[in-house]
Amino acid sequence: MNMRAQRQVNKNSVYWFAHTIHRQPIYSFMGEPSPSKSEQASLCKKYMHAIAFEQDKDAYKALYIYLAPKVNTFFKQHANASHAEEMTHEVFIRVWQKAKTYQADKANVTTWVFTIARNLKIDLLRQKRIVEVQLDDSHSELSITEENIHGELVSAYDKINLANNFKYLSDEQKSVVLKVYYEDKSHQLAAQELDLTLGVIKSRIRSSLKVLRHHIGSRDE
Amino acid sequence: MNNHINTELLLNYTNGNVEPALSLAIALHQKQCKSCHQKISDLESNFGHDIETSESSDFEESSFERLITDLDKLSKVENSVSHAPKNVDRENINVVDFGADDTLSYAVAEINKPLLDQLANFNQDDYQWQKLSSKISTTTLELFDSSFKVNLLRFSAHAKIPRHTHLGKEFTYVIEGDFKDHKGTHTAGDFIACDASDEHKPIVGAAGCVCLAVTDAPLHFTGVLGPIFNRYASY
Repeated sequence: MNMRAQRQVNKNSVYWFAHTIHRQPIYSFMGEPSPSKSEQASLCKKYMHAIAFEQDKDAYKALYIYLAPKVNTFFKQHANASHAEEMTHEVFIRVWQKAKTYQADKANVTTWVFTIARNLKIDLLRQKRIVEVQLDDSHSELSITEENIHGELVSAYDKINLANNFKYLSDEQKSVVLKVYYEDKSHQLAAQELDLTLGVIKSRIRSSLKVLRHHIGSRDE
Repeated sequence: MNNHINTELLLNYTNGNVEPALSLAIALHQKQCKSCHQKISDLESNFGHDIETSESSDFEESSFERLITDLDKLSKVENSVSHAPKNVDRENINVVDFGADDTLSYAVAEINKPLLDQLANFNQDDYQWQKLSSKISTTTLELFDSSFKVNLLRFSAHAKIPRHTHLGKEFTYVIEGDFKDHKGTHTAGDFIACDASDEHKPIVGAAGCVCLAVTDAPLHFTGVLGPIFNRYASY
């Protein structure tokens, strides 16, 4: 067995050990040693290192199994409980994407994950507030929110119908609509992938939906 | 003079429970004030610990597979867009993606980060100023915050700000220059919280002053010219 393969085996056995504990906590009652707090912290740091520099999915999974259910609890307690799983999902997407920016000498992994979760929570609240403030604004023409147009569109027409009307959209509008309605990305994710701010995404969706609604509506009559 | 943020506010800020406008002012102070920055880091580590010791809630087994599927889709998009080479070293990452390492340190919505950076690297010419008097001008920043109004206030050297009280809460972050009131001298980077009990008549220093003012009710000017200023302040 060459050295790389050997290392792979060792590494996997470490992760396997970690999974077992987190998946079946009952083992600790049966005398299996459960890692102490500081051991756990350094284990998490090892996972992060492997994620950042080797794109190691086993390490990612181990971290996920350990932390995702706890992050989920955090969202259930501190944000909208019905979105908890979705937000936990987002947190771990960012853990993967931002792995290289984690600095093990500055903070524990849990601290870093907390800041990701917290900022997502802020973004979610922010999104809601902007909609509320705009709705408060009596002379704004935003009484049609993207939510209710979206609902209208999806319930009345399937996505193929929508596609037939894509020619009416500008390239910028198309790229956003594709991300959000075809790939079912969150606005946040679409913003990241297209390298735009959330505000720009939202306004493009609004303008696209107005255009689409106009064409779908008129063809229907 | 050191103006620190009280612990309760820091706690709420760190946990992401502060209104957007106020969190912007706190984040600006956090960038400048080592002591508050340290406190926030400590609180974050406590909150991280809370997550770790909290109970696990029920979680679907299949969720990890879904995560991997999403990541694969994402990486395809990244590859097709491909801006930066994949295996850049840490040093380059710091340079290419300015502030990437500390972007999570600020409890500010993603959508407000550009504004945070713009205010942190302040340039008067980025804004359109409206004159309130020969020595005072202002501009309003729209944050879609239903609880607070956000204004930049610019004072020329030695300006005397008319005596006023605060009908509600006012949080001030000093961006440039300094001013002096009954509490002492406030310099760039300071964060000052005022409420209805603070009636003051600030005097601006020799270099002029620019402040970020986060208010939940207009200032109430109490001096001779009060009625005139109040008309402007209510805008």
